[in-house]
Amino acid sequence: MNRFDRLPRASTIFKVVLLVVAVVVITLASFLIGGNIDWLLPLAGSAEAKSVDQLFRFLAIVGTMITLAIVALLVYSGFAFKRAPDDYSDGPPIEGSLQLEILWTILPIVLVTFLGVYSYDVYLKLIRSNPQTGASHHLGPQSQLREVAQVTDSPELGPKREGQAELTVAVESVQWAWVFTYPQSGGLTTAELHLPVNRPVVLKMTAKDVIHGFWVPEFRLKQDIIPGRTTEIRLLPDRVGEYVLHCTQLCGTYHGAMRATVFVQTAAEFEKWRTTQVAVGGRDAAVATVVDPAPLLTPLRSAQTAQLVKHFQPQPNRGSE
Amino acid sequence: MVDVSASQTGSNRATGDWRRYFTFNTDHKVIGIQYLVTAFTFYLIGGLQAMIIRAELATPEANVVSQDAYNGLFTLHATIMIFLWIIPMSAGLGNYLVPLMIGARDMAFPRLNAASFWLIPPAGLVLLSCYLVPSGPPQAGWWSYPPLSLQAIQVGEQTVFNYGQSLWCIGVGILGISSILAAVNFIATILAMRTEGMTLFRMPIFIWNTLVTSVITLLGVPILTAAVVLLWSDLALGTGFFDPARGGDPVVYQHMFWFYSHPAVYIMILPAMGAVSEILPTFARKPLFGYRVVAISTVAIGVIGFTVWAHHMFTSGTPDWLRLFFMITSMAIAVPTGIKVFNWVATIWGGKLWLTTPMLFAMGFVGMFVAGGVTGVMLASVPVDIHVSNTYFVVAHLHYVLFGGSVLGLYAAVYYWFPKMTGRFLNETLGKVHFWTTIIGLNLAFLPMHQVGLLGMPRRVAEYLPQFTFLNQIVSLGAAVLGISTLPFLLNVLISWLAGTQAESDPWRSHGLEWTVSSPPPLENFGQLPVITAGPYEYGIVGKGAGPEDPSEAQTSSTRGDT
Repeated sequence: MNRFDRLPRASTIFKVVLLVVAVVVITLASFLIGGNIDWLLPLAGSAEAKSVDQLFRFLAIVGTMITLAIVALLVYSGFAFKRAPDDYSDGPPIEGSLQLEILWTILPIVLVTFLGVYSYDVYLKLIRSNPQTGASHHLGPQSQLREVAQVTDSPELGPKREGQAELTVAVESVQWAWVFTYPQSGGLTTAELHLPVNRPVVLKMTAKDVIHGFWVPEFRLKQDIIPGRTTEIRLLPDRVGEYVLHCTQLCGTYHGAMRATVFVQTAAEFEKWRTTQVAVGGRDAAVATVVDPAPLLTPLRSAQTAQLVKHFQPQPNRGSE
Repeated sequence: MVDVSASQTGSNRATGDWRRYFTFNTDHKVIGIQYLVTAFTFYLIGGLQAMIIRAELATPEANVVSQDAYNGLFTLHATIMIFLWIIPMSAGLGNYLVPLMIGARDMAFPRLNAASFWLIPPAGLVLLSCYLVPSGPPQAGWWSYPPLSLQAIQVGEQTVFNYGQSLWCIGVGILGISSILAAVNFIATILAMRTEGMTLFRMPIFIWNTLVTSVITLLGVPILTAAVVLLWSDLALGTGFFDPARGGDPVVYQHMFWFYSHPAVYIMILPAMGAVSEILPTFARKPLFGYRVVAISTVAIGVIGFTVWAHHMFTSGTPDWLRLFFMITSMAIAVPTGIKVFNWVATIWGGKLWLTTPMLFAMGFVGMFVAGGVTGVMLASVPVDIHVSNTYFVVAHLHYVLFGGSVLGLYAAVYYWFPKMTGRFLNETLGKVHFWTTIIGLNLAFLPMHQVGLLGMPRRVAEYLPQFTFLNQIVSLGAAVLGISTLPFLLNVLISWLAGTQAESDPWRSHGLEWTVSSPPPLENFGQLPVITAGPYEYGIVGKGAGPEDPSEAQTSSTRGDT
């Protein structure tokens, strides 16, 4: 027995080094992505976006780690377990392992349970000010669901803003344009969306013809607008800037060009813009002034059709603020 | 056992006669080849459409084709790739392999089998004929959401009826019927025609996957067919099921559509998973790790797969409770899927890997599928999905799953079973060129899509903001590489089918039943039906050796696959 027998063999050392290097590289790569999600996501522009970004960061780190780990195992196998040219034997006849199966059943269960609870928590923050009823009238009266909390009710969304009334904007989508109406400013109608920073906003959205989708990437909020319904989105823009509103539901020929500019401005600038617009009339002659526009509903074609889909009724007008 | 006599096969042409592939032949092997070749033809058409789409997106402006033509292109690209490539390709593999793998002489209903194939070419032609009608191709995406899909089409100054959408409804309806017939046939064959000793837990995983796929098809496709019929009725007969202007509800269509179309994802991935589960043990020379767990996971995917459809509607008209419910179920499906991936890796681990082209494609499948699966979990999380829904992030995800997953798996299957089907090997050099160009092309094409979607580019747009130009050009470059990567495969199949190296009955030394018959198999497959005494993956237990040319074994002049 000489003492060198106790030293690990060169191949073992190589494997350990390789394992350590792989773990370090994969971990670094994953956290590199997690630490630089501004490569992947535009800067957050609403209070709602912050918690979504945290969740995304976590998912990106875990996801990158899992993907790289599996790919690394495959690549390593390709080199390490490659058959020698003159080796005609089979591999070890291992048919499975109960312990391993239990391990890799429980690990994903724990992971997705955690992800589920985390996502649930983030979503609750989003919907405190933004409940979605899905316009499911056939489920009966949903008064509790309809009682929408103030945007500022949620402590995660910043300090309470006393006396700050919500700004209501009616968003009308048609093929292939956006029309914004400010009922609190005498029905001021524009083709750009101007929002004051740090003031709760309620967007009451309708679609004239087909389904459109409201998405401002910086706000991290997206909502389809379905003709025949008024769909609401509430948000708190918290960063001054110029953003782009995209239509995200295929709506025909010029779907890709159906964009509008969104300006989030300081209260003073917004007020200046608003008064100027109201003073000059601000009315585009081509666009009718609509205050909380009624959903498009032409008379039913036949009584039978109405019977067939009787659960669907137009949403009652909430009246203008 | 059903005994198929020559008179029943509908054609008495000899097995070497190429003309039988153009007849109403009832031999499952002929039908299998018919499926595979037809599906691949449509794959080339769908691929050419993808090339035009990416040419259009090389610049931010719409300048290669008009916006309407562009909308038609991605609508048909998706429809063709799903309904005329991946699904019939998987059905073709199933047709060819199921009777051989379970020890049957043919499918349970041979004439029904031929009928289900012969519905596909007409349906494909109906779909493509939309280029001949005045309104042009359908432009509402493969989802065909009303009311957009119900709108009349503006051609110049005129408004014309949406013939393209009508043809789409008819084509998809026929394809649905074809799928249902094939599913009935597969279920009956697998449940009733297994040879003696082939118990459920001795069935190859490919058979398990085909069985689960067929059950999903049988339960899901009728809903899609109903949705398409109602949509067509709204379009052509003036009813108002989905049209809000007539009192209908478009969200009902979305539910009906996704009730099928999410499980359809598993219809598309499970057969490829099955093929990979055959290929990995063969070339790792090890039994499939955790055979029972993999089989049960397949069933679990099929069951949970029916409870996740509304995750496609997280930003649609859906209430909060529904969004959260479907978030939990959608995340749950990651568990059986993850188990399968771990078992595949464990199968490879410590084996004696024979890195042939089918093995490379199968290993590529596992890696790329994980990348797509991980983004799938991200999409299941409602708050993240609200941001990325309907953006290029989703396009990236679905292409990793369907191209990196399904298509790589199907390629692996073609390389693996080509010697069985034709008696000749595919060329290994061309195969490896094909593999590496495909892997490079697909990552170049689909990886940057994640970023461009997260940054704010919606999907289905012919024009985009100029800041996304660079990323889109990388994507287009990758798409071009992918397009080119098809050429070595095409060349390989054409040359090898005619003049490839001859293959023996068991060129890969596999343990499956299909390798016990000659290549190509004789009419009616088995002279005497085999009796099964062991599982399908007894590598290392019943020794066969890793290479095809073990000099210590027989003196038979078998030829190597890897040149």
